[in-house]
Amino acid sequence: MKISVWQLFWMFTTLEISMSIWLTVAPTIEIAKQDAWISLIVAGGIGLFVTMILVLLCRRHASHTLMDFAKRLFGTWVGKLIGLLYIAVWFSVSADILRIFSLFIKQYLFHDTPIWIIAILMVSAMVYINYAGSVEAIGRFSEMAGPLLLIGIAITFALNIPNLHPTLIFPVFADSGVMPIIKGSFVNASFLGESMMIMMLTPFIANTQKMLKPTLLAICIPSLIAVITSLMVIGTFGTNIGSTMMFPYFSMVRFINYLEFIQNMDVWIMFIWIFSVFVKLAIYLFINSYGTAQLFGVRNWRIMIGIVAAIIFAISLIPANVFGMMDYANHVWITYIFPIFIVGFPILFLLVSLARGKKLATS
Amino acid sequence: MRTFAKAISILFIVILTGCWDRNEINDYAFMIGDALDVTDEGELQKSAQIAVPAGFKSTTGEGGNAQRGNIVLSVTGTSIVDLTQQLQDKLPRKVFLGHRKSIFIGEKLARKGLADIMDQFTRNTDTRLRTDIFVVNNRAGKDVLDINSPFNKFSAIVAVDQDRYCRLGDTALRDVLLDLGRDGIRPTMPMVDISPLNKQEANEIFEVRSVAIFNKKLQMVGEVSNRESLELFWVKGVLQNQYLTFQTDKGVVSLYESNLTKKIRTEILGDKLKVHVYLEGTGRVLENNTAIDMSNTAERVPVEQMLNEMKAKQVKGTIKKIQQKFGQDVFGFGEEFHREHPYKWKEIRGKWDELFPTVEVAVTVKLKIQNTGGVGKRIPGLGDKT
Repeated sequence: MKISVWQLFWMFTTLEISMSIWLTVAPTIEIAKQDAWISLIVAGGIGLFVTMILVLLCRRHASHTLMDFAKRLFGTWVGKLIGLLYIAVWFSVSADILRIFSLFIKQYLFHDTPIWIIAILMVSAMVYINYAGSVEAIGRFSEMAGPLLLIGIAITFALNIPNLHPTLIFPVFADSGVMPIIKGSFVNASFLGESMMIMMLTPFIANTQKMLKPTLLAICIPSLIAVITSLMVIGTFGTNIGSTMMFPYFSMVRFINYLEFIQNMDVWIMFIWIFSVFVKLAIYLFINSYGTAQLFGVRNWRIMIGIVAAIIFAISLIPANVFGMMDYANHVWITYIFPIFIVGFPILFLLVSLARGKKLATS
Repeated sequence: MRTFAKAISILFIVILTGCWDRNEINDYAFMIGDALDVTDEGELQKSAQIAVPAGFKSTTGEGGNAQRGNIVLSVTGTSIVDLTQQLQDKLPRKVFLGHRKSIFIGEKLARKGLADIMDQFTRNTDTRLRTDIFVVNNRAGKDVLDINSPFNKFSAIVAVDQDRYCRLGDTALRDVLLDLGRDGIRPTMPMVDISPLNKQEANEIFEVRSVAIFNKKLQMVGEVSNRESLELFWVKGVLQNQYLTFQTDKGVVSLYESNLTKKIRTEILGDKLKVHVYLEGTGRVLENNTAIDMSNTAERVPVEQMLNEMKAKQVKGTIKKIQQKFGQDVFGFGEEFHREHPYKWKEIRGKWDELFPTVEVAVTVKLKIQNTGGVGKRIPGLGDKT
């Protein structure tokens, strides 16, 4: 059950893109106006910094998951508490994504289908891939889905060029200023920070010494795509419509009409994009199952897959509507989870690990 | 693993047999065009042009005079959704908006204001932003839907095509929404005229030759037509090409100019705002009823200069007319100030409607004649050189 570093690259690229183009563009435009693209570049920088710390940390504990090395760094009980907190975060975020995914599919494709039906189809696919081959299967799947996703997005960008009004991007900087640009960057930076799941994956990576470059590249490409998406959305719809749209990238794809017969491309973009969300949710399911198994000392972690999937499914049905999910992203993920779990804790881990370096290496 | 797979497949069978969103294509009523009007009682009226599949058969035979291929239904009510629901009550199939090509708005409603109807077009995920939107000059929007064009079964599609060949094409709804809510530009919409010249054309032909001008509250305040409407689009920067005819003192010259570009520079001199408009295009001579030999550089250059000056004067006149008569910045000069003087703009953005009529405008036109068509100078015998 090992994956290569390039499978890791495709895995991270695929799962980061889904969020970057789906949920982050509109809020960033709302905060930073036509300078959203600068915000997203800053976000990419923050994402790279965070991921670099994570990779440095993980390389020091290459044969351990977060659950193990937290115990080694802080002792059994504090380590378990930290593990529990992270698991709680990952449970909540995967339930959130599952729900918002189902709502999105319902809104755009199936107006009358109950939400739990869409969710259960996704959950059964997640459970299946985890039983069939867990990380390895997901890695192979993303090697296939990742390039498809990139090609699909590149095609939509190329076809959207005739719709652009380049002047809408100007004036640069004057309407926003430093603070809005930085504030806007937190949205995507926090989503890029999902690379923290690497802390659970290092024991399954074949050559951990070489994983820095692919992992950083897997942050660069989604950031770049987010930057281009924001430029395209602003150039097509301006900041007024662009910031009020729920899912501006999909509205932009809908707007494409090339030579009268290439139109309504949203249907097959959505199809590829579902792959991407699937990779993300499958990885979260693996992390949650493996993490809870380690936390509670369950020998065979596969037993946990079904239970964890059921819990995620149940949590995903709790919020009343789409705004509950958006509130989670704004008020929980960006204000608490991002500074504490994505930036704060990993830096703390790394410092403690460096301070106790010698002793750990010998033990 | 086997039993697991079996369990999953049984689950799928159970789930998938009851489909909530199953819709066959012949369960849908395709709405091709929409018209919105206001009745004398002040209620909203919606008319829809709906495709009738059975009517498609008789495209070639029987003269097809009675076969329209569509029906037009009208209902009155309060909101767009309420009206769509009422339309649904009259139809045996489910209303489907995904193929709607255009929306026509009666002038009376346009003058009353469109703020209340626009929300639905952005909110409804079935609406395509690529829908075209027109104001119908002096008439109700429904009248356009009733027209039975010989070119296409759906007059709603004819209007879009017609707009494409003389103006902008199918991006109008997006363009209106783009201009809406920005401080330095006011929306415009293409207009449809129903004014048949003879009896045979009645119910068959309409014209797209004017532009409706809107204010900040999305109320129509006026219109400009023909040459002036094209100049408006050129200065706005959305016109691709156009035919130009000049009445000079030596005779008539017509050009076809394409690759039209505009460049706007703005200046703030104390209290005064100044706009320089540079318009360029490259093209060819299509008609030359003067004795001037266009292939001769020495003769062509003065003509080019003269044409440029004439055009600049015309464009300047159009801008002045819009400044004085309507006072709405449909050209987006304000947005140019916004781009070039972003910090000063913050002070003046709130009172742009008062400032726009006072803006001083200078226009420079540079039309290049790149070739003269099939002949250089005119063939001998068509008027002699004097």
